[in-house]
Amino acid sequence: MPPSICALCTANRAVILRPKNHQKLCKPCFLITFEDEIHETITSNNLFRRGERVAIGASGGKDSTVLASVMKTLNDRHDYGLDLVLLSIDEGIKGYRDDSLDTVRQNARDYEMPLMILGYDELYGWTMDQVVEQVGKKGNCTYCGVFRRQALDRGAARLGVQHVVTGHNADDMAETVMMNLLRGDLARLSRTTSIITSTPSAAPEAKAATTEGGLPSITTIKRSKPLKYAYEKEIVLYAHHKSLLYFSTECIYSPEAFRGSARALIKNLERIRPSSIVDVIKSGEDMARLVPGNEDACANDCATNASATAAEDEVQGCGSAGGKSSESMAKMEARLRENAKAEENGLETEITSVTVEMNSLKLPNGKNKASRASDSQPRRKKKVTQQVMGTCERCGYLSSQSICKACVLLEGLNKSRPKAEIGIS
Amino acid sequence: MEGAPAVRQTATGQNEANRVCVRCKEAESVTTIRSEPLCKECFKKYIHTKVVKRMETFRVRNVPSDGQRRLLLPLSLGISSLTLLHVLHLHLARQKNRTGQTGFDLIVLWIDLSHSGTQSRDPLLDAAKRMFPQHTFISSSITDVWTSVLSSLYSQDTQLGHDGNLPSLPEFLSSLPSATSRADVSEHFKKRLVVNIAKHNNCEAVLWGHTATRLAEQTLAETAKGRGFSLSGQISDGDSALGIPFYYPLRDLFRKELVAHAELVEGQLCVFLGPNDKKQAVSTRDSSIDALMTSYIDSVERGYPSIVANVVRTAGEKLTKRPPQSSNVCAICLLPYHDDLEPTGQSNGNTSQFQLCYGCRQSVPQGCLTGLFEKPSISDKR
Ligand SMILES: [Zn+2]
Ligand SMILES: [Zn+2]
Ligand SMILES: [Zn+2]
Ligand SMILES: [Zn+2]
Repeated sequence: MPPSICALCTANRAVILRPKNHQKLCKPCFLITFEDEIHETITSNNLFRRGERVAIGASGGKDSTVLASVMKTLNDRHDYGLDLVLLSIDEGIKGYRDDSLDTVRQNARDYEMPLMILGYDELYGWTMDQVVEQVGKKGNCTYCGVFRRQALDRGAARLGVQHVVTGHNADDMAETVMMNLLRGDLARLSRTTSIITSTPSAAPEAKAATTEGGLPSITTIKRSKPLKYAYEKEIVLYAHHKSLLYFSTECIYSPEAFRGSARALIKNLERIRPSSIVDVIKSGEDMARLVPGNEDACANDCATNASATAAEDEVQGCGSAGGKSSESMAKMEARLRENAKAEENGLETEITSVTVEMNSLKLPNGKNKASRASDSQPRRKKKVTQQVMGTCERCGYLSSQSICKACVLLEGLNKSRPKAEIGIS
Repeated sequence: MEGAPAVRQTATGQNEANRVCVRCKEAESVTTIRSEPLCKECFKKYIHTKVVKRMETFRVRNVPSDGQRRLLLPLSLGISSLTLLHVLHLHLARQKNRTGQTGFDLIVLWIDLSHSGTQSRDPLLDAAKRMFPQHTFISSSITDVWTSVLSSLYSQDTQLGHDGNLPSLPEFLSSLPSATSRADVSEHFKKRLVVNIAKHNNCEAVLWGHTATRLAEQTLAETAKGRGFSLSGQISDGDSALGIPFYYPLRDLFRKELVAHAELVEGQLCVFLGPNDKKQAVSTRDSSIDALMTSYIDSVERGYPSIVANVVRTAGEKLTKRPPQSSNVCAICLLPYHDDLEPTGQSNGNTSQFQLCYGCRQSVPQGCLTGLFEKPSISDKR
């Protein structure tokens, strides 16, 4: 068998079979193609402004390591004029971040970027270890999910940075589209498919320390995903051929059933037809525009205004979150069944609704908050319209409730630790 | 073994322990449907009600004064389309009985998929005709659609050669790169042919035999193949993206419920049960996206049927249909589409000289079309 020749330069020997389209490429051609495609994503979506300060959410894992490397390369090559910093979050789980933070420190030296590591203790007043000690092993996943979702934005606000880029890749995006379709959650589907999302978040008053007690001012933290169309397999190949150092962070919590199911499905799809990862994303983007209320939004380029959107919805591998998003398949099945029965019984509904009301009268003393309320009223007509997003009264973070999930969780934690005067900053 | 009145293990997988039917509270239940034990009569009523509820548009009092409404029912000869025909047949008989007339006439269409050109005979078709002699049966061959596809392609590119050396449908299909592409294109060709025939025969709408199960499969498969833009236009009731209304009267029923209905209530329909209707899980190393989605939905439906039903509701009822005016029409699947930017990095020669939607561009690479048409145009130049 004669060695195959690179399909692009037709000179070198091909050593890479591109996962995305099965093209045979030499190493230099693969690396440059990979980078060019990300450059194209960045320019066609106008992700950055010249002179912008951009924080790269860095976990030490393959996605964020490759993101940092490519951002550095492209910033130099195409003269984006960006001021890049690495931002890492330390959840405060003893031993868990040691190796990955070492990796990030090494990346910072390699790419000559400043690094900022912020701990949950600084951001929330609690480390995950302390949370686990307080609430036990069972419930901590909720905290981890909610805290993690906000951590990068809060951290960026601390740094005075208004734009955070994350390492979400094409596989993550496709998975999210399928998952939200399975969940029947079109609002979330349309929010999460856009490449840019923005979150009003807490930022420190210019120089004033955050401890002053007054409400922090609200700025808008922009989030974007330059690797949105980059295949996970190609990210791994890129890291390998560039000899990038990364730490394989497996999320210590297994994904909940919806995400796990969607993930397996995407893997099978990729095996059958490699382009289907991008095809699913394309479908998701198109569907987003068919969600009532979004019809007028144009495609990618003005996604910012199309999405009164929430980094609240973003999932970083560990899928659990508070509220409806963490509803298990079994729970959702039960809720849908109850709805169907209610609908079918038509007349009976009116009679049973009396008992429902009586039941819900007994509830309020427990002040179990919004998630309970919606669970216990399956008969309420579901609105297709978008959730109304406001900001949290306490911290200014984007939230559909008057107080955001993190603040609700913190309130609970702080109550059980009465001596603690650490609020949220 | 099956078919005896005291079937214990039904297709729904439940064990019946002589429980009393929850609806009539008299007869012994024969199966459990959505966690309710039902007797034979109430199960039958359940199936019929679900179907008839979706046929409201076609009630007797909606019949126009100037003539009868005609609806096309494509028959795949599988259990779903046969059950639909069976239920509608009884529904029409009841209408006639009650009012002396019917709300519509049924035209039953069978499509020969064998590419042979010579009208092959399917013994199941004969069985269906014997079972429902009152209805008009017409048939067509999938090869008939090819002429219309070719003319769509020609109308877009007059440079194409015309010397009688035209590729045949089987040639075209075998030039496609994968089983997924072939299954995808065949599926859309079938749909296209049905729409053509419906319009030709002055049918007002098409009644599809898709169950909730099938619609969920199709929803996920079209999403995976990049046709998310067309979901509601393909699977909702009423106006479709293809210029004729579609109705899916079985949309509230699962495939396994139809299987149980044939086995427990309407034994004569059992001849139309296919090998895949009885055993669960079709995981034979799925070769195409459509096959993958069939086994995926099968596995989800076993544990979470309402989630499957909800997927269909979401895609079919909660998404807006795109206004058709600002659209191109795809030369392969006939779906109207917007010519958007490609997602980054999908650079496999997608600047087609033909107007194809995103999904068809994935299934039918540019080379497949030009390759087929090159031969004649080269001979033109000589
Ligand atoms: Zn090369
Ligand atoms: Zn808050
Ligand atoms: Zn009964
Ligand atoms: Zn098409």
